[in-house]
Amino acid sequence: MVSVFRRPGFIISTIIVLFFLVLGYLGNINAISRMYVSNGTDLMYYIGIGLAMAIIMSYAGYVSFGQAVFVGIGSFSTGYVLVLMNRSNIISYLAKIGSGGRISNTMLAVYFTESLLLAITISVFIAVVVGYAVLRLRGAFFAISTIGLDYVVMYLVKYITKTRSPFGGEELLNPSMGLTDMTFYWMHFILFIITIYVAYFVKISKFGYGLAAIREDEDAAEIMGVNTFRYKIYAFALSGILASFWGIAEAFRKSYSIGYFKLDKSIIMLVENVVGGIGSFIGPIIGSIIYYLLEWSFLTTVGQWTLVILGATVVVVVAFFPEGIVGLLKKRFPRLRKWLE
Amino acid sequence: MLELALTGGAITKGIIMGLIYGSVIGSVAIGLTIIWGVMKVVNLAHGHIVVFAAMMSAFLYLTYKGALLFTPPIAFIWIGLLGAAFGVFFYYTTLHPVIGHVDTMTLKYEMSSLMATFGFGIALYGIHYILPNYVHSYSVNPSIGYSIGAAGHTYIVFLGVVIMKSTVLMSVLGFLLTLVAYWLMNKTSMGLKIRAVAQDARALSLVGINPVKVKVMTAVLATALAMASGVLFLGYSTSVYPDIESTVSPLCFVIVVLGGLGSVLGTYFGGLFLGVMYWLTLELTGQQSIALAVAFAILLIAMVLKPDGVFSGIERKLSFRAKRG
Amino acid sequence: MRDVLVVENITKRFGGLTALSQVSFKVKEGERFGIIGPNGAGKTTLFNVINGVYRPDTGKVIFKDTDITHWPPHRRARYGMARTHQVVKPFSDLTVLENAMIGALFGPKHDSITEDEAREIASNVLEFIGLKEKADLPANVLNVQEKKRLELARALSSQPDLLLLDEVLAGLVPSEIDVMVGLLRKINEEKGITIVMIEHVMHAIMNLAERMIVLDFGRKIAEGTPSEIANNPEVIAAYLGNPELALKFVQKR
Repeated sequence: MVSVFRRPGFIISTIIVLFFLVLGYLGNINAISRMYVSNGTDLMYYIGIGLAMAIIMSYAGYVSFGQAVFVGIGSFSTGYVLVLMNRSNIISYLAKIGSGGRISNTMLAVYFTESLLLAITISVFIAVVVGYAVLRLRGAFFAISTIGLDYVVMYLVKYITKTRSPFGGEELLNPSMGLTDMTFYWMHFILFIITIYVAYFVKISKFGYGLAAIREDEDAAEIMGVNTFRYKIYAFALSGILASFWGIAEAFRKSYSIGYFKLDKSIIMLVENVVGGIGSFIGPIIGSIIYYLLEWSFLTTVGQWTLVILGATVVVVVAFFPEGIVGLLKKRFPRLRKWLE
Repeated sequence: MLELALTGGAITKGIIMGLIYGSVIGSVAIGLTIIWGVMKVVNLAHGHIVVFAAMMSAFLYLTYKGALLFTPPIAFIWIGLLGAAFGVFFYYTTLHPVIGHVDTMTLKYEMSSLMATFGFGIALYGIHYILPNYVHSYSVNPSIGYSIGAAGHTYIVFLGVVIMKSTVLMSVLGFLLTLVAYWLMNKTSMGLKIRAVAQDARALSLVGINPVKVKVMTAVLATALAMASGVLFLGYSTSVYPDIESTVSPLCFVIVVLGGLGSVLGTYFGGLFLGVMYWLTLELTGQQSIALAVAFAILLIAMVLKPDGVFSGIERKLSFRAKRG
Repeated sequence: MRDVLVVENITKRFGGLTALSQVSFKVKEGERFGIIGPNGAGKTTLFNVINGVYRPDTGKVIFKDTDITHWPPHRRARYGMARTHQVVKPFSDLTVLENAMIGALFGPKHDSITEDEAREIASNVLEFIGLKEKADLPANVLNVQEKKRLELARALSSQPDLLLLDEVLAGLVPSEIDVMVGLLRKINEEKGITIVMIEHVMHAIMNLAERMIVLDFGRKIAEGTPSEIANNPEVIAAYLGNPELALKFVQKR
């Protein structure tokens, strides 16, 4: 038996983590390197949401259109902690704006932790209560019901921000904290480490085997002793918690807006999983990187064509490579199978 | 925090506006219910197709102002026919590679077709942004009101409720569209074949009918209905823009789930019900976000409690009565 | 010897159709028990009631002296009941070894077993079953016969007390049937696992089962040793339609 630390997935995850660590240290050299820091932050976000979705979609085989609700909850939690709790003045005071200062790391950590706790609480509550009802549905019915979940929460939150936000709209602008891109990079990095290792250890754990059985044949899994209903709820909740982390990360960086609840967030997560390949841990990571590179290069070269090309890509992938990139590689190069956990 | 305006006026207005809206949105959902009920394909491109037609008709109407060809009742017909052609394109690019030769839809095919239509949908949505002369939003309602209003007024007053004439016309068109769809599905041989595919595609090929042909017909019918119904937004909404899809699509899902998959009349009644619930909540609370939250809460509740559809019995009862009478 | 499985007065209706009517029988520990009957007699429905896929309308299922009538399937599996399906249901995307490991991980020892132990149990079972050399292949590349073996391996990996086999011989050619029958006998004798099996291949089940029941239209019409069953006129009637004709047929043999 190979120890966990020598397993391919662990090695790959660690290489990716080290890559971001090095990028972070090299980041602060000059203007060009700072641009890469910003790209790196985005990339961590894309891989992060891809892996969050992977737990319910790639591992358990349940397509959810509503995972954006958890990203939204995460970003709303940050908005709540920073804005709606009416501490804006305190935060700005702590940052000593005007004298060019920034909020202390301790206070930042406090607000960050508060956001995390709030987001985890709401996510688990929603995932368990709603999951208890909708995880009895399968396939498309489940997928559609998650749209309902997303929209119910989105419109309720919209109502809250509309009535309570000092800005009166769909956004909660963060108070000035004097933070730089590097700070955001390291905040993303912390969440990235948590996400990638949680996703990997879930994959290789007994829980992961149970989810794989559910994905392949839910009835057979139940008959073989997998408590399918409970596992699905755990997977839904864990996926939700990880997704909410990325809402928090982005809201610290860009402030809360209703956009985090929108279906296109779910869509990105979904496309990353489909392109990479369902059923694996590596798949969603590859899918996320490809998605990010495509989107990034499209945005700079083809501009408005982005959506058309993305949509066409999905159609082509689904029609001709239904197993995604990982499935294709496994078929072409059976030797690589071991590395494509 | 949330105050209810529980007055008779609000309730009357809620019901009337709800029925008008329900008739429009109910007919919009019919294309979705047919394709879902027959092919077990959850067509995520449906809303995009509807909005595409709405944008196209708004663009044509405003560009060639006054031309009879582009006023809603006429455009409604030819854009529907155009939709039939578009349906062939939609089927062969998106559905055929995935489910063209599949007889029984397993979960796997259901998911692949879901993803494929989803891809088609966002590609179609993206097209709005690359068209030359792209306009973010068309304001259309008042001008149409004039074109069909008899004597200068764009509105009528009914039971103390001010109603735009154009919205009434659109809801009537929605009702007509529903009748056409019902007739095609239940009274023609094409409808019979389509409903037979829903039962058993392989058995159909044994009696000499090509299931692929029937699938094409289904996609064509559904897309034609979708595009025709898109024209209704021209007279119903105050403005038409690509992002109305993000409300239209999910509402269509609510309606189809309420109405029962494949049931044309059930879907229409689902639309009326949802329209009334939405408008009542809107009138009583004055909050659009609460009204939409209620609409989607209905979806969740209906899916969990009655996934076969709440109004699916209506069609059976009606056709039973028709046979007897 | 104690009764490992007791089925008491099971009735199961689907709408107006009564699939099972007042079926009762007992299976002793270590026994090879057969269930036969014409198509549509309710055999698979009976299995589905025993392992919890369906809840019976009346009656009880008692397994290892515990009333499990209202337990969900996964709880029964964890209590020591394993099953194979008439239509094989392998986890196609997982390897053969992983398929068997899932059996071990979620079986009766589910709360104490480690992944390494599960892997070891699974590979032992695969060796026993004769699938060792296919262990690292994905399950969907196996042929029908191998898939049937995999079903069996998956069930055995959980180290059950009771094995429910639903037509495990169907679709196999005669030489394969002999191998499989030998394997089942070995499972029962070497591992001491009680076997309850539904089977259509008559000579195999007559040879293998120690006792059996016969179902017809959801009723139990006979119970006994294979030779008792073979000479029961009602059974012959159920299979052949006309009792007199059937009797003649049997006598000629």
